[in-house]
Amino acid sequence: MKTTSLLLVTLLAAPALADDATPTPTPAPAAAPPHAIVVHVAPLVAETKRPIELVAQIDTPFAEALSARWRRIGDTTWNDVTFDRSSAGGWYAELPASGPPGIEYYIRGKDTAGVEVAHFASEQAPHVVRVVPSLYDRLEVLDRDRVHDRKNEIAVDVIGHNFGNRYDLDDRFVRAELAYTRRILRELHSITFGFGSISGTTPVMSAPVSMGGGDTGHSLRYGFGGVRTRVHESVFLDVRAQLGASHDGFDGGIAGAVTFGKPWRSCVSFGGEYLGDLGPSAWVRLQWDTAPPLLMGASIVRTDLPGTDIDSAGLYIAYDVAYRVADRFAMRAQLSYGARDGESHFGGGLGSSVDF
Amino acid sequence: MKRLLVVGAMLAAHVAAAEPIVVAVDGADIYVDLGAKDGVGAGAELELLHEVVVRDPRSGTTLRDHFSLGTISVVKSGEKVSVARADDDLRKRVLAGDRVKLVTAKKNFVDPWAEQVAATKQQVAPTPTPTPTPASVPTTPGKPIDHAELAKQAFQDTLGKPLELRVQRWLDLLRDDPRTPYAASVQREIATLKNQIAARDQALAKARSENTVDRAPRIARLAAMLSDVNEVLEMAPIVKAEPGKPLAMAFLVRNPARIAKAWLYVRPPGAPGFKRMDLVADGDAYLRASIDGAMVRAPGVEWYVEATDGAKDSEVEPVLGSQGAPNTITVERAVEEAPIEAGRSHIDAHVDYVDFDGGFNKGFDQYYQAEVDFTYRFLKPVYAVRLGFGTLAGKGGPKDVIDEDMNEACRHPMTGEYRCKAVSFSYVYTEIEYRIRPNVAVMIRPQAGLLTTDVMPSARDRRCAGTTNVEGCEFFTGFGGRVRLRLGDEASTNLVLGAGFTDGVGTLLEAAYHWRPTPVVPVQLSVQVTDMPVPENFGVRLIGDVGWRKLSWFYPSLRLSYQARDIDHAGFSGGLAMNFDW
Repeated sequence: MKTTSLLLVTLLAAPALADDATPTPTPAPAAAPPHAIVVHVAPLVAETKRPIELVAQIDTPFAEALSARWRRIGDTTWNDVTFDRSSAGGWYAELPASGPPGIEYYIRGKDTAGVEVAHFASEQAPHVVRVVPSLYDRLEVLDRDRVHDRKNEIAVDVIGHNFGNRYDLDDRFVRAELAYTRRILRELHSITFGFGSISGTTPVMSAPVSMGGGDTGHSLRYGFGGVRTRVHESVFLDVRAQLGASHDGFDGGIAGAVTFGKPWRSCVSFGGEYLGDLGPSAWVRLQWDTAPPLLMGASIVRTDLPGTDIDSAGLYIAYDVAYRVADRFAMRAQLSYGARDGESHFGGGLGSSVDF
Repeated sequence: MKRLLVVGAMLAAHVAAAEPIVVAVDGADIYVDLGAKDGVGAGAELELLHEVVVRDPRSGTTLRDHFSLGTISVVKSGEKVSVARADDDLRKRVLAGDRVKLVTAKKNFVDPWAEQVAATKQQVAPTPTPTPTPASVPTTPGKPIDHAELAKQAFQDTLGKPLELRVQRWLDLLRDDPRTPYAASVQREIATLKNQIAARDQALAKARSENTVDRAPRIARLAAMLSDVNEVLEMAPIVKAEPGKPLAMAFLVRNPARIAKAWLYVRPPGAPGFKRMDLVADGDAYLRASIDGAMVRAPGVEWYVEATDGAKDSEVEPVLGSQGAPNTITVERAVEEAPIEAGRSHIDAHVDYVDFDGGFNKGFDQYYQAEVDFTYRFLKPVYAVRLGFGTLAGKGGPKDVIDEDMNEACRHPMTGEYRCKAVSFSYVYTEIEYRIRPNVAVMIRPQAGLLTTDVMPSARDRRCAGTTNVEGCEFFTGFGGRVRLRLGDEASTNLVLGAGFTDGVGTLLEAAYHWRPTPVVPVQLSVQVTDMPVPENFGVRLIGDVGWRKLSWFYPSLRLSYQARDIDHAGFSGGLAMNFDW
């Protein structure tokens, strides 16, 4: 009723517009109804997940049933939103928040004769408002493509190193870990949970057996949880906490690393770990992807594993190679060389992972 | 004209039968559906209420309320409609449909027309003039025609009627009462009404018209209400654009009379000139085009618009930006997985035997050094990073003692004390290469390792590595570092100046010149000053290193050197290296 009345008002009030015009009427077809005019500044881009407001001024608004028709890019069905009066004057219509790639719309009206009138763009050629994805949106798309949208990984790794000893005492360790990783691929890039085991033997003092030298076994069984955050396109931070039981009792530890570059491409990482009863470790690792399909890395590791009791720090260099055997499976191998107290010895490791 | 508006508004208000509202806005005149019957007249104050529509974010329901925008003053009133005025600021915000509320006291108003009729009636009645009675007017013989009553009745009949009916009713009056003393007034009213009909029809015709001449003023007026931009075109700001994606451009034509044809000029980064594309007229007042995704590249796209108004002698002129001062759309940097680039990684393995006294295995001033390192060139922000492992083992001591001991046992001639020392150093290192300028690089390398020294004479090398006799052996962590400066291109001609020091092992100063006489033969000539393997006396080393680069990914090299701590304490030696490049 109200709409009808306002339409009549508009029709009757329209002659007022002619006050300043020369009184030379231009006859129009009697059947041609008056049309609205919709004036707005069409948004070209929009922020992700924020509604898009169309602010308009409309002449003879009630001459037609006006609406903005919208759909998200890629959708097939159109949705209608009508123009409402704005408290700031004029009219507005709100298109819903959308993520990338954006939204498309056009403005149409239906006059009193039932004829559709195009006011801006059209169904055949709608106006596209791009929603510019954030940096992490775009990185996520790349990562999803890289991992073939597989968000889970299970990995098994076993590494060991025999430091040797100048008094022929045993100084070695073996570390095995089973880890599940959930890939988030955003600022929080992944979450990892797993179990690990460290077993080793280390000298109790650096002296010949005849002078009291001997070795002892150290070990740790632990569970761990960690997160990898992407603080920059090419900077990753890893933090992890672990709790377990060692040869000495309840034990815990923390670890962290910063990676410059992408962990799946060429990068350099600096990391450290502290295990209560097994001591600290620190490493630098350089990885390069220039020999595809192999991914190679070299690490310098300074470590007290497996909880050394002698002063000298273990130091070794490790060279590792990773190879994706199949679409979902990857294998890793490592060769290390280094010493703690005496001549350098070799170590190595094997690992594999499956994505799903 | 105004009366027509009033009548129209009255009719509308009657139909609306709702709260009083602004029924029309015509320039400074604001028509409201309140009139004398509502107690509203000139001087009355009306409160203007804007409707606010908001969406409750919690429930999604639409909430409506009314807020006062200000007060408008009535300047004249009809029976049902009044004309009001607002100050300049408020006038821009008044829109048809806004509600109004009378805030001053209601007054009683008298219909002046009725009063006039009544007064005329009193004047006419005493002087009855015989007039011919039209056939259609019911008359009573002997009774005079009441012209005033007929006119009043006609007026009453026109109230609330469309213009055409009102004209017809007045014509009927003239026909029925041809001697009416109000004929002149009625004729003026009919003429006024016909003018109003003509004006109304003209306005309606414009509202129906799709002709640009008719629409342009309406669009310009709306655009002025939308914003106070001075440009003839208006475009929404683009904070940033996504690289590689087409960009839809849409311009509001604020003054269609000035734009008959327009073109968008676009220049992507690195392009020598602007590409022209037609802007296509669209909808009520728009120009549209799409910038191809291939042109949307970081850091930004430059653009401007030229247009012509279509007049015969008019020229094409820039209307938004210009070729000399284009606008810029900032484009986000492309984020993509860069392809694997060749030549970024390098593995270098080399071994060098250094004999300072010519004694080879039986001498007291020799050492060997082997290193293997892995390099990756990140280019930015750090040019390259190297990780390496090395070992150095040898024997050294004061050259005078070594040379003067006739028994060649490195014992002091006077005291017989053994003065030489065996050194074994296994170390790791990390080197960061940073480029100050394209041909100037600084390389900094810290290193640390296990250092074993043996100050006891022994016929057996690496005695301290055994488990039986470690007297005189010392084991500790040795730290050191090296700094190098490279001038020139890494792969071709360059000069490297360096200085290194390792605690317990010695100092090394070096200058190395590298060039490629032919593409397959890299050559390096080096001069080193060092006191290694034991910090005692400095000597000089002259080294020539020649490679054979037949394969792109691998080349070996052979090096020969001459070194001396003095002219009698000198020797030749050599080494070899293997280099891998991917």
